[in-house]
Amino acid sequence: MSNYQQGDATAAGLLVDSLSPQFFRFFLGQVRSRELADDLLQDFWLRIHSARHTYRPTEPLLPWMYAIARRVRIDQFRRNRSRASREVQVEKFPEPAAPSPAEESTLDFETLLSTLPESQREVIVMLKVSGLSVEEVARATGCSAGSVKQKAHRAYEKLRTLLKGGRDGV
Amino acid sequence: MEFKIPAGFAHAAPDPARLAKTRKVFASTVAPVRPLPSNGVLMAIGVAVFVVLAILLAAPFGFYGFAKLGVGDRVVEYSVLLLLAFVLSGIVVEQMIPGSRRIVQPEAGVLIALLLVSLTASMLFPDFSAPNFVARGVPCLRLGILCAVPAAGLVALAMRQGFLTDPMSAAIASGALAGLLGVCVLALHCPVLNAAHIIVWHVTVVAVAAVAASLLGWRLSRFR
Repeated sequence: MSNYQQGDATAAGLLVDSLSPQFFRFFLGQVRSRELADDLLQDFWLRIHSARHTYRPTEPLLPWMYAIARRVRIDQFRRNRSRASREVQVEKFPEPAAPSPAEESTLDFETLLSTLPESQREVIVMLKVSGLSVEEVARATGCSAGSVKQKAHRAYEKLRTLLKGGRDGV
Repeated sequence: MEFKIPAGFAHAAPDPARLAKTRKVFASTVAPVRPLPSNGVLMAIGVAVFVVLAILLAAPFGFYGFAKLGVGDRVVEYSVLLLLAFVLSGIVVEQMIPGSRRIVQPEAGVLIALLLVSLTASMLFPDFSAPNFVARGVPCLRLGILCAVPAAGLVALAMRQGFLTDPMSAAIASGALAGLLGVCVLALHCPVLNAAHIIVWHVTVVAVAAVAASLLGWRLSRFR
């Protein structure tokens, strides 16, 4: 990151290559569409590029990047909401394509995540998908560590109930 | 809770063509940048600008309040205001840096400012009589808000040097700091050393500025 700040294009490329999969999964865990996740990832890198002077080499890198990724996600959510309010309802929706067997488990996982409220979902994705520590998630979301733990605990409770209900239903 | 990520999700990868495009943009526009100074340095700059601006804005109206205060009262009152300026500058700086540790939330900062200035006024000037309460108060409120407006503009300009991840909190923090500058100008100018007057007409400037800034922040973040 320091080399990138000093204008090293190779370092910038390396950063994009090494961290893109992680942030792609972060976006995918929240939007459930690969295409949209790709769009968000591109927007995210453009914002990283314009905000790179706000990173201090003495500070941890991931919370800084996740804070920006979170902002990208919120802006997309607002854009979508305002667009949806202007759209005209069509009479018949096209049938969604059936997921391939390889995609099915991913889809289940994403569906499970989508049942969580936005704030709990992002905490779970950061903790479990991205592997951040509670302290790092707290920095990225601008909350206290206690608040992050509470959100994670509530999300686990909800997921546990859903999974138990699913098993009982089978 | 044992939480396993499905392999399909754990190995999901972005579109290589899009990544190549991003790399290309980076390669063509990458230029050296200087990282922002540490929080301490930014806070010190913020407080220095705050003090200079308070003196400059109070000068045209006269330092009657400063002249009327005893030495001990001056030390206590201006120390409290300086301390609050430092705390609120810190909150503003935290808002500018993504992923920085948020020690005090902006809402708490506003509350601390309101309580501390009110408490100091009650201790230093324990006079709660209120002759010409409204007639003497409204000009103070007006002057305080008038001084807070350019200060808020300056804080907003400074904040543009960073990256705001939470525009709403950033607006509250900048409004509170600008409002505190209005209180400082009043503390230098206003000769009414009465706790009721200060608590109602001076301290309100912080609350009004913070609320106005948060409304502006909400509107800007909603319609940008």
